[in-house]
Amino acid sequence: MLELKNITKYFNSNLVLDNISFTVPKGEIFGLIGPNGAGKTTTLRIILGILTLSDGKIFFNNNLLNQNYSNITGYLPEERGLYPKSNVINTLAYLGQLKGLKYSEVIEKINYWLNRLDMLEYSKYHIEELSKGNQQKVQFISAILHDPKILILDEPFSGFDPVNQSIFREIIEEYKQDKFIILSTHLMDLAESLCDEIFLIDRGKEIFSGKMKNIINSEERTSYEVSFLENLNEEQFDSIKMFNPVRKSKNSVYLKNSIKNPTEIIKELSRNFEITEFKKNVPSLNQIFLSLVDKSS
Amino acid sequence: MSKSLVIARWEFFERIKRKSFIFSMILMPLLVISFSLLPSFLLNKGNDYPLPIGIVDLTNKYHKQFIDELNQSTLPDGQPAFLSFNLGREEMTKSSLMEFGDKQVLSDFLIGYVIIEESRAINLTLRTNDIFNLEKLNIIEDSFNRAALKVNGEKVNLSKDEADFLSQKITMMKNSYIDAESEEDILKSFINSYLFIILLVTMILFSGGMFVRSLVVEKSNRIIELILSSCTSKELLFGKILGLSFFGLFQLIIWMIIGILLHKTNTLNLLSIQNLEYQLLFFVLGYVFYSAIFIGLGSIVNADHEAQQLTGFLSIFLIFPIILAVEIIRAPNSILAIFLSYFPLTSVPIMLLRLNSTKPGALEILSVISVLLFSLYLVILISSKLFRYGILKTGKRPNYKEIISWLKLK
Repeated sequence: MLELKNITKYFNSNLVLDNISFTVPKGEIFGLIGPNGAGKTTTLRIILGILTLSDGKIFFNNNLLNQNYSNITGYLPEERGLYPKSNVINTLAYLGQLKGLKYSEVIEKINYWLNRLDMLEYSKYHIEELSKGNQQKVQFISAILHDPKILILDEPFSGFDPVNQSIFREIIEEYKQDKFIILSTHLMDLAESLCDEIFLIDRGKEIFSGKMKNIINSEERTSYEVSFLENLNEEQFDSIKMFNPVRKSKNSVYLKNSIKNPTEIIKELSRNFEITEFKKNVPSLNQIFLSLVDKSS
Repeated sequence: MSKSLVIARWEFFERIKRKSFIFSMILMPLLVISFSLLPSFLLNKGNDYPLPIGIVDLTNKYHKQFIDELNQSTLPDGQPAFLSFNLGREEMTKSSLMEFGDKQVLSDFLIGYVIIEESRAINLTLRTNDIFNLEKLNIIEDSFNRAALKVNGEKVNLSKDEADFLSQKITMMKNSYIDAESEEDILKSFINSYLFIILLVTMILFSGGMFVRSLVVEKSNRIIELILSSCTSKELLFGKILGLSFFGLFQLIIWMIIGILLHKTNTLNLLSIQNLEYQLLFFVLGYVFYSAIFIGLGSIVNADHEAQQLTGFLSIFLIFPIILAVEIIRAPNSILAIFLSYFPLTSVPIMLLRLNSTKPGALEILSVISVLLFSLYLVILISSKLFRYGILKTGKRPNYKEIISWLKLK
């Protein structure tokens, strides 16, 4: 279990992380979500030991996480870049050896990944000679090469075309089985489709956290849309106030999710109205995100 | 393998594999050495055949003795250095003699001719269309001085031996105005020191500049983040210093091999380099000292043009002693020379100059080394702090306040 407890970070006198805590479960993809400048990258850099903490502690399997653990972390930074004048195999061998792999071991792993990503023929190419997509692949290999227990992906799909996105989604899904994966992004669609759990951060503070399923399907965020055969007049609208209508539009009303279950609502409404459609509206993560960020500000 | 060693190996091999390394580290010093040795080569090897020279003695007193003295100067192969001809005719005027002499020179019969005149003092004029090297001019001047002393010595009843003795003394006095034994030695000292400094400057500016540019690349494409997620900033700093030192050592070895080869072909006399062991020590200290400065300052720059500015700024301190080279060699124990020896930024080049023309006392060498080592310690301390905080800083260059705040952080 990877556990961050009361993490606080100051840059000079600026508070950039304010007492945040979360736990990353094994075998799941943990989404660190927030707008630009929320403190996501700072949090990741702290986990990786690139930045020091002002206060708080990080535990990995109940041991204090420090730079001695650098060999078990893999990192795909948001801003990508490698040594343009060096060739693919040398660059990856260097980065792999920095993660504690022996040369023979690292070469074997490089060949495996290059082969898997159809890049074997480019192994002797200079990085600057590769297309942007292939450079991204090399960068991704460098993060995963040493089979890290903790994999940190900062905006992992930025710059990837849809084909490569799907290849890497597959790899990440496969990889997560017995690993700890933190995915930082401001792309809500991506987080919604990939993350099992999320932690929403804004201006260095926790806004919200929890399992993705629970967040999306939480009763307080869902609503019902009921359509009738005829348009409702004001009198008719007033008569259904017991169902917490939020608004109406011509022949439809939007009801807040209430204690009553949908069957009961349908039953009661159908006594006075002819119902043509009954729909449950589940908000997207993006809508939830916007409303929460809006509230917090 | 320790992570610092992995980094050092990467830094080393990535640099020596570059084409620019082959050009700058092998071809450039060869060019520098060739250009440095060219004057010496011309001085020693030029005009290796007897030069026909005329003498117009308007005093009609000195020409016989002068010709005798000139005939005594020989080339390394035993031939006379000059074939001298007396052009003087008593019945001819100065202008007609000069007209005759000029014709001989223009028709390439003579390389030049010397006009001897005497009023209150003796005037010697060499009329020629060629550029004489210093050695040949010295032979003419010395031969005439000896001839004049002998001729005039007879007038005051000096015996030939006494005149010879005096001429010896005069020669020694003329050439003993500095610690070196002769003009040639001054030139050798200058060339040797110049060579060492040029090599040091080349090595520091090339490898330091290369290092700073690589830091700029690592910072601008954020690969530094990837590296720092794999090792500590101390391991990174140590690895980079180690890599840079290996790189420097490798260059030094290449240059030493070149030096030995040149020595074997008699182009360069390594044995003529005074205090070679101290020179090498100061060379290595200078390289490490400046490398440490480059690492510290390099970690606060973010763009190529800033790196160039930095290299330019540091090169001032390295080039400044070259401007002062002649003065330092002539007066290696002057207050200026001693002061600049203790000033860390000029210490090494100045000591390289001084060590080639004098041998400072053991205590002085030890004190200069101590000051340099202490300065090196301070520079490494400051550089490691700048490196730790500056390495992740991108975008705007940090201002002085920020830099000072980094230095204050524990």
